[in-house]
Amino acid sequence: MNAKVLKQDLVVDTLKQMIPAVDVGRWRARVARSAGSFGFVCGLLMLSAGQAIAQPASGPADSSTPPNTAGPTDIEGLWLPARGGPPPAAPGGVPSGPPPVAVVGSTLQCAPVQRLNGSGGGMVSLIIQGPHQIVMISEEDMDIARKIYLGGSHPKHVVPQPNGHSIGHWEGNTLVVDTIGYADASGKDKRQHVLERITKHGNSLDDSATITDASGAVRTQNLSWAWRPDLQINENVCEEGFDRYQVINGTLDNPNIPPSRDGQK
Amino acid sequence: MTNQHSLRARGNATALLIAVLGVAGALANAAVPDISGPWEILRPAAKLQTIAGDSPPLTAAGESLYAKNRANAELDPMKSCLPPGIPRAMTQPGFPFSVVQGRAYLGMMLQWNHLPRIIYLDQPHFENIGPEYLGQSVAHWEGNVLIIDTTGYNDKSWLDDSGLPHSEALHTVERLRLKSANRLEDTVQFEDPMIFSSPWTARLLFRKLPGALIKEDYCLGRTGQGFTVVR
Repeated sequence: MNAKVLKQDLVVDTLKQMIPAVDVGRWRARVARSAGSFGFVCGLLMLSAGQAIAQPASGPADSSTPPNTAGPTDIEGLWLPARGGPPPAAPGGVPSGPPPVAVVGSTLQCAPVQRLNGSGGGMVSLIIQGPHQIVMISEEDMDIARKIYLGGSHPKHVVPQPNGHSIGHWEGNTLVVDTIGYADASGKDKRQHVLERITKHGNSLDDSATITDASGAVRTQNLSWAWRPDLQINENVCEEGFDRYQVINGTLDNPNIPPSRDGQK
Repeated sequence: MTNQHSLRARGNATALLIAVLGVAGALANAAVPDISGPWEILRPAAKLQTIAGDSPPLTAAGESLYAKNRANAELDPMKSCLPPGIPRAMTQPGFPFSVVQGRAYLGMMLQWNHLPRIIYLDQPHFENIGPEYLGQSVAHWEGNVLIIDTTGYNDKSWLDDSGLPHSEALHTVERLRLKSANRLEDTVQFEDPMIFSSPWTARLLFRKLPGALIKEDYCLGRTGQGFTVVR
C-alpha cells in the first residue's frame, strides 16, 4: 500500500462542522426566517454553541478522531469502512474491488465497479452534500461518484448504468435511498432494486441495504463507515496502469500510447 | 491501486485560530448564490484564447512544446483516456458536469470518464501526495463570485484540444459567477512561467441544462479500447 499524507486538518474540519459555512439551502432558509442580518448572526452563534454542546460522541472507539459535531442529517465528509469489510461483488454484475491489472488473455481493464450500497470498498470515500444532490466519491472505485438526487422521483425511462439511478429523501435523521436501473455487463437492466437506510450516529455512518433481485429474492447487506477527517482522497487514475499492463488480442502492446510516454513501459 | 492512511497531530492554538476564521468564513458565505445543477460549455472551441481574442503568450520552451503537440495528435493524453485537466475537462462538448454545493466542499461531477473535481471550501492549500491531473483546488466566496485557486497540477494534460501545454508550475485562479440563472461564467487566469511569458486570462461560458442527468461514462468502453468482462 502506498503512503498517504494527511490532507484535512482535524481541527479545521471539526470546527467547520460546528459552524456550517456553506450550505446554500440551509442558509437561505435561515436568512428568510431571521429578523435582519443581526438576528441571523445571533442565530448562527447560538446554533454553533448548541451543536458543540448537544452532539454526543459515539461510533467506533477511536481516541484520535474528534467527535463529529455536525447535525445528524449532515453526512458530508471523509468516511472509511469501519467494519464488515468491503461489500461483496454484486451478483451477476461486474466485479467489485480495486480495478484489476489485466491478465494475459483477458481484456478486463478499468471496468465499472458496481456497489449495491455505500461506496468505496476498503478505501476512503468523500461525501459532498448539496441541497439538491448528494454524491459519494470513492477513491477505490476509480473516483466513481454515486449520485443521489434528493426529493425527486425516478425518470419514467431509466437508462441502465452500472450504479443505477438513485433518489433520496430524509425520514427524520435517516437518508432513505432508492436505486433502480442497475446495468449488467451487457448494459441491460438487471431489474434489481436496492433500498438503503443511511443513518449517522456520531462518528459512524450506518448503511443498511435491502436488495431485491429480478427473481424476487431479497437479502440485506449492511455497511458501516467511520468518519475520518484526517484522511485525504486522491485521484485514482486506473487508465495510467491500463496502458502499462494492457493486453489486446494476446499481445502486450497498446497502440494508443503516445511516443513520449514510452518511459512508462 | 491501493493506499495507506496516515495521521498528523493538531494543536489547540491552531484550533482557536481556525474557529475564528471559521466564524468569519461562515458569515461571509451566508448568502452565496446557488450554482448547483448540470452545466455544459456554451461555445466549445478547440483553442483557448485570451479575453481579447489573442493566442496565449508563450515562452520559447512553450512554443516548442506546443509545436510538438500540434504535430502529433497521438500525443494527446485524452486519446488514452487520461484525465483532461482543467479547464479542458469542463469544456468537452456533449459532456456536461454537475455542480454539487456542499458545506465544506464543492464538487464538479464531470461526465467525461466519470471524473470528480473536488474543490475544498474556505481553507488554504495543504500538503498532499500530488501532483495530480486536476490539481488541488481551494476556494472561497467573495460576494457572488467563487474564487478557485488551483496548484499541484501534473504536466501530463493539455489545456485545450489544440495541444496547449503546461508544466507542473501551472497555477490557475478562476472567478466563477452566475451571469444569469442559466449562464455560468468562469474567468480563468493561467500562470506558468515555464510555458507562458506572462499570466493571461480566458473566459468560459456555460449554459444550464435543467433536468439533465450526468451519465456514468467510461472512456475505455466508449472508445472501444477495452473492456470486455471475462468470467
